[in-house]
Amino acid sequence: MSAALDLAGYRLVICLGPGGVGKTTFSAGLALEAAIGGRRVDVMTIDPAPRLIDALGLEGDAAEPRVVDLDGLRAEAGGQLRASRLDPKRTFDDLIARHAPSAAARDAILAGRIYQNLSNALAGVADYMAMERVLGLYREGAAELIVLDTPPAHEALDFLDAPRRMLELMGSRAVALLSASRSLMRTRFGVLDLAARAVLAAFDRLTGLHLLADVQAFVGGFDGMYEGFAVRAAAAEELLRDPATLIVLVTTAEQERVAQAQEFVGALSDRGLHLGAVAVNRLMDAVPDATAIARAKLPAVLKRKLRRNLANFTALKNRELIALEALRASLPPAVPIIAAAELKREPRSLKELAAFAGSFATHEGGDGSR
Amino acid sequence: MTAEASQKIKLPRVIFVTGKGGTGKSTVAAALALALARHGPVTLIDLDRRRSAIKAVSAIPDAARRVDHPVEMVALTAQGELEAFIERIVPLKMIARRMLQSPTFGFVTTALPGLEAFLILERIRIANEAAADRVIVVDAPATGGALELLKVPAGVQRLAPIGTLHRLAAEVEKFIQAAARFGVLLTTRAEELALREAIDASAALSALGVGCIAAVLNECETALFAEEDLAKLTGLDGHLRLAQARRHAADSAVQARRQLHHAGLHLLTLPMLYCPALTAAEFEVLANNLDEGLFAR
Repeated sequence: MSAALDLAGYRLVICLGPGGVGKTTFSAGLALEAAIGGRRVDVMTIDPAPRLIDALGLEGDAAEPRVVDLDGLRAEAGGQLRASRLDPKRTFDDLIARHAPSAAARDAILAGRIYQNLSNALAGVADYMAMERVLGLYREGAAELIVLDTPPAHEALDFLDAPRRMLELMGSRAVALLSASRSLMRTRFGVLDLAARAVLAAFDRLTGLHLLADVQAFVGGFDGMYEGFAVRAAAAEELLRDPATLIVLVTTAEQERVAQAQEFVGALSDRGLHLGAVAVNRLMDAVPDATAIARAKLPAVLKRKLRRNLANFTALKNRELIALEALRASLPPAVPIIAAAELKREPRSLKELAAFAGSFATHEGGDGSR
Repeated sequence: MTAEASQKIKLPRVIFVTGKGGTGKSTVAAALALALARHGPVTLIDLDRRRSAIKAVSAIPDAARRVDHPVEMVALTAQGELEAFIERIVPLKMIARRMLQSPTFGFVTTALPGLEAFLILERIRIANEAAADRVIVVDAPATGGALELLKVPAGVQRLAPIGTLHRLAAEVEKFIQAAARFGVLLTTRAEELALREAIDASAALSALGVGCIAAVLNECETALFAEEDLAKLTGLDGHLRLAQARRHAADSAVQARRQLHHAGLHLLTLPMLYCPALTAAEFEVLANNLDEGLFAR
């Protein structure tokens, strides 16, 4: 087992990061390794690639955790891995069903045009639902450790702000304004609010959206559910700050991804959240020494090829080092960088996934030990 | 465009560049704008918040551009488009401003996330109509977001069964479905997930009735070593490993080409550039490659 990331004492690991860096594979590797080490682990993935679905046995509807067969991996006694896939829409539906005051209210919300749009497309809904599912698993207490993969972020802040944004949306003055009856309007809202409502009504007619009635129905349906939501969202927020929660930022050493990762670092620090570690995926191996080429007894043509190849890879390795230096410079000094090797292909089996996780190592590049 | 007749691949007036994260989407969009500017006027529209494509083109000194036409660069944001739209359809400026400031309106646009995305497409359509002689290169969001964006006109028509918005959405849908006006360029790499995403995206595009111009296979490596070379490298462990990696990468590129071709996609290839940073010289190489792939001499 690699000692790169010591997860002892942690109950939740959240893997954040830009899209396309191998976050899902990394999360699954981390969870598998902890399970092989003897812990009971749940991993929740978002949109895993087909090979990972095969490797983890997540075919079909895998919203509920499924036990992954660890036979042949020499897992220590007590080690168990359960994997699931997040279905944001379904989690949202469940949430509504749980908090709705009546069956009629539930059905009215679920069938509404506003809800259909909110649940599919609102930035942050998938993130909030990921947190909601984790909260469920956390409370259920079946696992000692939960590893959470997060949805690809449009913005660094989506995941971190999701609980609060949901609450703001539901508790906003705008919602109150839309749902208020005419008599209430006169007592609780000012002239500007009334004007805004009138303008919105005009916009509604102009665009042909005819939304106002839908919005009112939606908001009316949520009446009485706000409390339940607020409690859950507060608990989710608390979980982000729990000392037993480790936030890991996953990235690659490509310039563009590093720039995105730096935005995450800033977003975490703005919110007073603690960054536990940064994992750099797909790191190239170190380049070999050029003197070996000079010493070798080889035809000159082949030596030229070797030198050219070495120069090419060195240039790429330098590109990587420049990006890593920039990343290191933007991190608080105590945050460790974990390096994960570049894979020739996506893991096809648990064994390959375990080998990938075994490659995680503390990165000591350049003078990176500052 | 002067070279209309000599295009190897039929290009629409609007080229929407998307691909999986990490496949060099913004780099390709920037290089494509530079290549096309050798043949006619080009506008580069950047939808990325980080403005990577615009930054790349701006960083190249004019002297190094070798283009007959300066690339016009436009950054679009959802919020900006929403404001412009409201000001266009609400005749009185004062009322338009008040609407935009009202928290109620903010709620409605949050509940209708497609509205802002739709307005971006509408803006691109208008840009195309206003200057039909220009080629517009769009640095679009990554594949998932880009497909969502292209689905929006149909979604808006469902949401707004009649009215101004419905009429506009129908026009935008017609625009993105017109092969001579609009098409998608998919960037990809010789790597399993990136290839799958490109092939899946091309299927999704044809389901939407949107044209797929070609796939751009980025960072293609050449083998450099023959099989018998490798046999001679025993004892040179590190160098043998590098040589094997080089051959493996080249094999992957060959297979990727085959796979994309098999999926019925036109193919443009770009070489791996072995350099610590992409500078003007590298963009010139990429633009040359795209130029050769797109235009017959």
